Amino acid sequence: MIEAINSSFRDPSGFIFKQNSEYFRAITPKAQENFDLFHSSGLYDELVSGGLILPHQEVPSEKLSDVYKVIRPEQLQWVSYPYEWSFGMLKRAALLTLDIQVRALKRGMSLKDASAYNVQFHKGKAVFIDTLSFEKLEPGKPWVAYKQFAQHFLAPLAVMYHNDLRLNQLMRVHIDGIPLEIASSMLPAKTKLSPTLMIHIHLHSKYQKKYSESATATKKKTPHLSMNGMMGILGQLSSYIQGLKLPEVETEWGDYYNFTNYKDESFQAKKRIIEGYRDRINPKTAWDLGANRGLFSRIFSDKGIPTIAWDIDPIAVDKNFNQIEKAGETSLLPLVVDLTNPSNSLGWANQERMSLEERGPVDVVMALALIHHISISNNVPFSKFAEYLSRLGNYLILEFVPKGDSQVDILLQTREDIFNQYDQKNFEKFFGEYFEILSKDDIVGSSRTLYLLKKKA
Amino acid sequence: MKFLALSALVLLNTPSTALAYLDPGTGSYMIQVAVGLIAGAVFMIKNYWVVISGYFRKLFKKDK
Repeated sequence: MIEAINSSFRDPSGFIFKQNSEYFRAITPKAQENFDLFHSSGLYDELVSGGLILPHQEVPSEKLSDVYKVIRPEQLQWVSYPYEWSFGMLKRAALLTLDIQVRALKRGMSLKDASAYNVQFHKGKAVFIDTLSFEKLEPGKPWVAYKQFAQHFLAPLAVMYHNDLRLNQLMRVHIDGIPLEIASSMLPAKTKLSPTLMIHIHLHSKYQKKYSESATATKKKTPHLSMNGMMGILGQLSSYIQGLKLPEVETEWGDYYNFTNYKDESFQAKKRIIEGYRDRINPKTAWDLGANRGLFSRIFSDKGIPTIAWDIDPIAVDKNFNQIEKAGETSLLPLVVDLTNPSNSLGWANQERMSLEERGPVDVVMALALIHHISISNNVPFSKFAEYLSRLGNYLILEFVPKGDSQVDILLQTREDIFNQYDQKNFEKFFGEYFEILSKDDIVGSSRTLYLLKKKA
Repeated sequence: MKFLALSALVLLNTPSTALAYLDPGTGSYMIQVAVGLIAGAVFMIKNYWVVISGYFRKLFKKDK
């Protein structure tokens, strides 16, 4: 029995199902015409050759009733969500969506949705994943997905840019994008001077309100939008978004690599130890928690191991993404996460979007110089931290930072030291309940220790 | 009742050939139409500008 995965139910044109740990897309007869046009118009080939959409292959579908075709898309390394993307990543996803819409229009098709969840980051680039989002263009009809584009892309980008970068978290609460009314009320007054924001957020929000209240206002005739009008709107959105560039601000951890307790000698030693661990356990997947700009994540991803570099700082993640784009790296995905409140299961029945944990476990989890932030800043006992990490990965590489290290002392400077148990002996004791210690290596020139741990069966 | 009125509105304003599986929003349709005229004009002017400036650039290159 084939069943759609939990996130695949909104569009009756088809559904995603999982079989033998691979994902497939079933296309229903309802979508036959549009799916065929997507191919015959040349749009699919154009998007694939530009690397804009995930390519797929048709596979036999005889056993499935009420299904026109089954396709097997290229399998994604990871699934990520807009509230985990940095500003630059969301910007890339928005521009990709607009680019695809323009190309679709030129080939007599149009996007029927513009959801940020239709974009994934795959092999270092934003890629569109929904093959069934394309419908035959009806000349003169306004863009059906315009409202969704504004809510999923323009509003989040605008509030992140003008208010606070951390406001991508609003997407966690509003699963169908930030309501324009909220965005409009949050944005500073000066944004009314921007024609794009004035029209597509502020006025758009007013129009939504006006037409939801007045039943008589629109009875006149079917609204008509010329192709030039549609292209003009898309062009305006695109050039506005393209022009949004973050100022060169330093991050919470901006100077992290220069400002830690590391001399170059220790830094190199730490790198060599981790490389040794990597070669010893030979992982197929890796997560680096608290990865900053991904310097140590690259010990894995540079060897082609699919790796996620998670960090709380949206600027560090953005810088990491810029580096990935610049160097064309294909195995590293930087994502924003607050580990004290990681991405949870969201959406309908809490099953549409996966929590951080549901996307694991991975072969190896790395937590370098993270433990003091979790255990001291957030008061999480060792046993709770160990238990959580044991659910995320089979191996754990952890850097223990003892009291006396300046980074720990900074955290204790302004508060009472209630952490009597925060020492290496207790660390080994509590982590020992969930993990076996395979290796323990002091980092020369520092007071820190690296551990290679294996989850107990 | 409000829902019915809203649905009726959407139906009235959407071309009858194919309804979207998402609610496109009447206000979202109307604002596109409202700004479409100007946006379309800007789009055309930009296109002509590209053609005209391209023509002169070519001329200039040839002269060189």
